[in-house]
Amino acid sequence: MEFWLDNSSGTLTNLSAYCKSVGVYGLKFPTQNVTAFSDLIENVTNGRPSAPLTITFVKDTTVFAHLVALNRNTPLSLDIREGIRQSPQITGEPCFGISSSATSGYVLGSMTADDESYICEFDVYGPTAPDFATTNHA
Amino acid sequence: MTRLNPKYTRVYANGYDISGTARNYGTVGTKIKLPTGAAYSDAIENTIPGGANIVCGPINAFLSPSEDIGLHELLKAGNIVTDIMVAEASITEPAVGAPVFVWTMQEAEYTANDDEIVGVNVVFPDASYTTVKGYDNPFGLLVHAKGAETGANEAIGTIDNTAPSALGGIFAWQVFSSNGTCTVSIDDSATNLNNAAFAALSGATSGEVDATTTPASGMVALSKTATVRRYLRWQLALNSATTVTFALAFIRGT
Repeated sequence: MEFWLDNSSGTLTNLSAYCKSVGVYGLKFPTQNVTAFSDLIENVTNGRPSAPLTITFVKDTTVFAHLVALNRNTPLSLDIREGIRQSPQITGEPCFGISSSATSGYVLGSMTADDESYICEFDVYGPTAPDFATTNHA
Repeated sequence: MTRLNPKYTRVYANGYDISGTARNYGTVGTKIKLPTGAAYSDAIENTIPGGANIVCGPINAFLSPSEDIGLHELLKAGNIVTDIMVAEASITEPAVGAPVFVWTMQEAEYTANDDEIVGVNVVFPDASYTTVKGYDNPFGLLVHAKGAETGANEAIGTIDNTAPSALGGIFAWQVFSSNGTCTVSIDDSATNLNNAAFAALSGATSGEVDATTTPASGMVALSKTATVRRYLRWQLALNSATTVTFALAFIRGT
């Protein structure tokens, strides 16, 4: 697995050497109950998804400098790249993320530190959803 | 790439080095509200970053009331406005350029427990004390590691940002001791050629302090549009003091 994130200049950067955990990633859809009196079963429709991320990094001076330079209101490109039964990822294997623009991407919210880790929370900025793809986000 | 090792973390508060009693600083950093919402045509719930809270602690420490000067005497009242500086390092004590957390926090709780090792927890609410507004990043770099100096700094810079910035910054200082009055501050420079290239960074100064009997500390914010040139170094102006022990940090605005 690899974790890539824009730096403060907008260059997508491989931070895999500093990443401990990417947590749960993907789209989560809430459901809306639309069961009527006459329905024979409870039934639902899917609502709009969300895709927050919590990324945990090792305590390291390089990733520290990368993270503290980020503007909290600037959308960032982000890509989580999977190698299937091998590492790193090769062409055609899955990734999850988004290519940023002025109106879309991920933004860094919280950044906290404890004795062992930097913990960063990201959420989606703008109307465009991140996605699973087989062509890396750039 | 330099990995940090928590056993070399040092914690300073109001000009006191409390590393000898503190054993865990809890969680430090920024928590930014990410309220989500979406228009009908949006493909996903999305956010616009909201207000920030600076978080610090709880600092867990050994209860050591016998100390004349230290964490217990400093914080036992439970409601002390506290200038915190947490400096981190990899293989020895924090040096210039080490990552730091600095902020002024309002203490809200000082409690002891009956664990096998009697400890105390110092709790700070998740909110910034109001001395610094307009900034939401409490992480910066150590510009002067804790140590004594006896004169002005004429060396070239030790912090290289690779480029200037025009988004201000925050200067924080911990003056542990002195034998008279002095001023600690930051110089900046566009080049790193020699002493003459450096000048005082406007606003990044402690003003005159005297840590002869009581340590001094503080943090001051520059204008959010202040230009900070590429290189930084510490500076010391002696008045009646001839030796000063201090640590300085600077957070460059983003």
